Amino acid sequence: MKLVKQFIEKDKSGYVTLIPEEFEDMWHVYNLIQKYDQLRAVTIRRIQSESTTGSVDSQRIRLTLSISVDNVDFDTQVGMLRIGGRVIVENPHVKLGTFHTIDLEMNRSFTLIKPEWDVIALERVQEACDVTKKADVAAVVCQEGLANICLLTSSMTIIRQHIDCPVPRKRKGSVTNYEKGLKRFFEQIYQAILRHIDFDIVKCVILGSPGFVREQLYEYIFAEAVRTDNKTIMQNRSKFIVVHTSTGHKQALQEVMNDPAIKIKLADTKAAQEVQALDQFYEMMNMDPDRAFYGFKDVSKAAERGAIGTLLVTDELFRAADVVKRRQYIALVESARASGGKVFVFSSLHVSGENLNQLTGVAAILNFPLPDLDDEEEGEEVPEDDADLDEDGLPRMHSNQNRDILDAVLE
Amino acid sequence: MSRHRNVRNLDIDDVLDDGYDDADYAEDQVMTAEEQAQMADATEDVKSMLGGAKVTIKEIQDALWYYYFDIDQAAVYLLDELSKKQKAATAAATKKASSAPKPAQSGTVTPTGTSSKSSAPAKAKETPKGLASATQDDDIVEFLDDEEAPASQLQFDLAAMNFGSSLKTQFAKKAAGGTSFAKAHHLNGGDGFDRSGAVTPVGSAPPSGISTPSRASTKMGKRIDVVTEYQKRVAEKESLNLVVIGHVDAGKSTLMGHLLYLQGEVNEKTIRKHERDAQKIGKASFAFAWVLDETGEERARGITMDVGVTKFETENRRFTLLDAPGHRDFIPNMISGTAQADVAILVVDATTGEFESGFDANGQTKEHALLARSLGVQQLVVAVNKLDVVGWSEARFQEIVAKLEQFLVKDASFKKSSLIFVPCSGFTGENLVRKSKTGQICNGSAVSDAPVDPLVASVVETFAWYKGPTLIQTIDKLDAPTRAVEKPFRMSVTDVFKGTGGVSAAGRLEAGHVQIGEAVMVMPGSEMAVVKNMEVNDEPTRWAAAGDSVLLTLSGIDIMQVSTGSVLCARDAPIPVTTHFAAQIVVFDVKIPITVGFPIIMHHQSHNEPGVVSKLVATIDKGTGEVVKKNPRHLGKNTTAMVEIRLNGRAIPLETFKDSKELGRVMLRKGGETVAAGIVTKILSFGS
Repeated sequence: MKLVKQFIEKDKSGYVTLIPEEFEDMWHVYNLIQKYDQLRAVTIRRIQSESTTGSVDSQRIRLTLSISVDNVDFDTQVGMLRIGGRVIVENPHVKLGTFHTIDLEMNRSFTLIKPEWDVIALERVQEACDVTKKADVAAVVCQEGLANICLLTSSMTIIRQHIDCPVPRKRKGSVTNYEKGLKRFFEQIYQAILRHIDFDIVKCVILGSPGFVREQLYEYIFAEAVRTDNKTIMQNRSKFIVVHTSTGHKQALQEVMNDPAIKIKLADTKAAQEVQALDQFYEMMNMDPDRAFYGFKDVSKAAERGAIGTLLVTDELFRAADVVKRRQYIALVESARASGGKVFVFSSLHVSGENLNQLTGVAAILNFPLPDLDDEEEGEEVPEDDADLDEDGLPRMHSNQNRDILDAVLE
Repeated sequence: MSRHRNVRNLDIDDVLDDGYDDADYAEDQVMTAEEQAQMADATEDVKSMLGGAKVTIKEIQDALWYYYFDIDQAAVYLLDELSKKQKAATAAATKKASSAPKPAQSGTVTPTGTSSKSSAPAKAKETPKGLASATQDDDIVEFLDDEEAPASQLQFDLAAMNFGSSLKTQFAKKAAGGTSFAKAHHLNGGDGFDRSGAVTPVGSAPPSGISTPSRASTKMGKRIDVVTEYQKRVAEKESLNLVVIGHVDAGKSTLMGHLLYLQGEVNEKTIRKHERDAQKIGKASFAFAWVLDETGEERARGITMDVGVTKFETENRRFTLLDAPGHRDFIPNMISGTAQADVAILVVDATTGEFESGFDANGQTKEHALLARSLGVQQLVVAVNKLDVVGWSEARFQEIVAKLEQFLVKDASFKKSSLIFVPCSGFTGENLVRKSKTGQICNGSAVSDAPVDPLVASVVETFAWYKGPTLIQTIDKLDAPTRAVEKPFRMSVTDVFKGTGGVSAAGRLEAGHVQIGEAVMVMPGSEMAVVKNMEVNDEPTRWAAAGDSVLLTLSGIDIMQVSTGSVLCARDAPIPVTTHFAAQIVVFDVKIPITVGFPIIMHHQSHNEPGVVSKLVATIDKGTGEVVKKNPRHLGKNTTAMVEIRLNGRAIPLETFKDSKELGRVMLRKGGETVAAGIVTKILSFGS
């Protein structure tokens, strides 16, 4: 992403003009834009005009519009960002207050005006514009009959294709079915690699699997490349790395990033650091449960006492439309920083981020144990839990309903 | 139904292979290949139209040829002919049924798949002698519905049909039913699967099916009272599913391969071939393992990767053998195999250092034992293998027994009485089937002509201390668990492939029973399919009951609808499909504690699916079952707890442990380690 212009007042209000350059930048933008922000960008609008005779004439006009953001949609598969809202600056063609949806596109500048640029947002801009922290890695994690072809960038994990191709098992006296099935499975992966992996961008291709599937796949890919005379694959042979994972599901990506050989390739990317931090958290929880806490309540209490050594938060919390909530989390980050703690903002698109999201989205490793924290919250935890469930209302209602059904059935 | 089969796709070679009688062939030589295929189809059609009637294939084919494949006319002609000579036939059949050997399931012969043209001589090879000769003498190949019935069944059917009294009227009705059905079929057009026709008979299992032979009985032949048949079979010989588990390279496959060889399941020629081939790639000691490790990859690497399934019989038991892989990466396959098993043999390597490494934290001995226990295996035979390498040392044997027993009883909570330790050697074959005696040395390389190894020769003296039973004697005494035969039908699918004439699905019947012609529901997806053919332990049969490892041929369903992990179930009692459920879990020896949002791979039967522990409900006292702490923050090692689990991906078929002991168990794994085992207590969401 390119930062074209930045102007921020002392009261933290101001604007930033950016040019997204690649796919990942769209994700950063998605995380930057919030409800009630103002966005100015070039867009296309269909204008209808009625002539005096009553015939309607419609035409598309390219114009610059400013809107007050109402909703933001992001499609991770195609990297499309659609921002909807009301027009706030009048224009010869568009009336004030009418709705408009802007599609943000790569290589087109836009200006984002925020009433308050907080730390997280400014860091996000900085991070997005830092070219040194980039690493594009493709990974194929598989097990017999199942494969995920993913792209890993420093802040995104995108599953490009999920292959589910049942491989018959060996049967007494006949393995032809099995071998045929396996070949068909590899063929599908090979085609997916050709389709989804751009070797000009990707630094390395990781093949991960339990057992020997990865080695068989590796052999298959190059045998096939030789057979079909595919030069790109053959030239990029050195980019392929084979690592062990315990499964072919998406979770295996976390193991991939922990592999020493991959760590070097991924250098110091955010993704690798996040995985490490989360691992440390779990380790600490096992070794000394009084030094590892999760959930906003516990963590903020620990922050009050200046105990936070490492704070783990997911970016999803900062995307919250609720301004009060967002402020709370920002305050938490700031207080953790103030007491000398490290802060990791996890990308919720990574497997590690997903994991942390499940774990209430916020966790902390403390510098010193706080055993009494555990006792304190014991009495209060029940209401907190309820609140958690109420928030997304739906699953709760769902499960209750089903419980009733089940009870009825059992009776 | 078979009329609508795509004739073009019919494999002529297959038809011929399937025992196309030479005489028949000569006679049919005038036919073109196309006509032959048509004939095969038409014969099948006529057979199904005639239902339980007794007509030789040759008769049908003659009639068909005469009417040039006009199925209806041929059928009518045959029925006319039949009613003339039915009395004589009845007499002959009764005589034969009484003289033929008792249930002998192995005697059952089914024309496999597409080919119905199996002819008398080809069958004779497989049929027990008595029955075969009778068949040939009478020159009548009898069949009920689609196939020749075993003698016992015939008897049963005869009794049911009550031939003596109202046979004539019955037959008339039956004929009418047959033709009307054929007409209905014509009207039905040709999309292959006549759903209504196939489904109705199951729903309305006709109690009065005998006196009023309905369309159903014409179509399907007689429904079998599986429960009675099952009891008969159990009384004869109980079947057990046996899984072989243990650390990688403990010698599981070699041990079982050798056992199969000694039991006569594998012939000399095959072993010799394996021995030669194994020698070629410098793995001479793997010859026996190759019996079960059949893929090129497995042989080249010398390890088992997927479960090898085969069968063998002992004096009192009929075994389905599942040879599980030991390598840690293939534990999902091992779980799939063990989930199908009733009893297990845990193989441990007695070699100095090897036992220890298998038993240590990183070895699979412990994990396998724990998994087997959590998957419901109650009886465990521990085969202390490779004792020949340590000179049949009793001290070593006792040392291993002591160590293992402590672990198995204390940590894995096996009952001491259901643990049996047997010293043996899979390579030399010592103490598998018999023990060496003076002058009669159990030289495992019985197949090779190499001179007897001095170490092996000394076995008689050094192994004299052992007085217990051999491995085969031990497993012969294992008890079969009670099977849920009376419960609604459930079968977990472990393998799916395109078979001849439909989709082949292999798996184990967890509950209930199934027979040919029944409609079953495939979950998830709620698709219906009809069981067209089935095999139990490689032998064609008409029915199967809980506990059997079966291979079903399903028709009327696309292969995409059935996958590994699907459950076939009774139409009137489908299995719930869910993504969210409550479970009671026991946490294993984990490095990091389980928290909310802990990502896991959930293994259920042969299927695995990613998910998260979405809620920690409470920790529970193992002994009393009382709640120790509500809403715990995390679960450390060896705790028992109530949790909720949510699957990320597709919904899977799942039942509570209360409803089904087999389908209510789940294993939770993460990063290649088993973190917990659990049972499903409540299903919290239905559908996907």
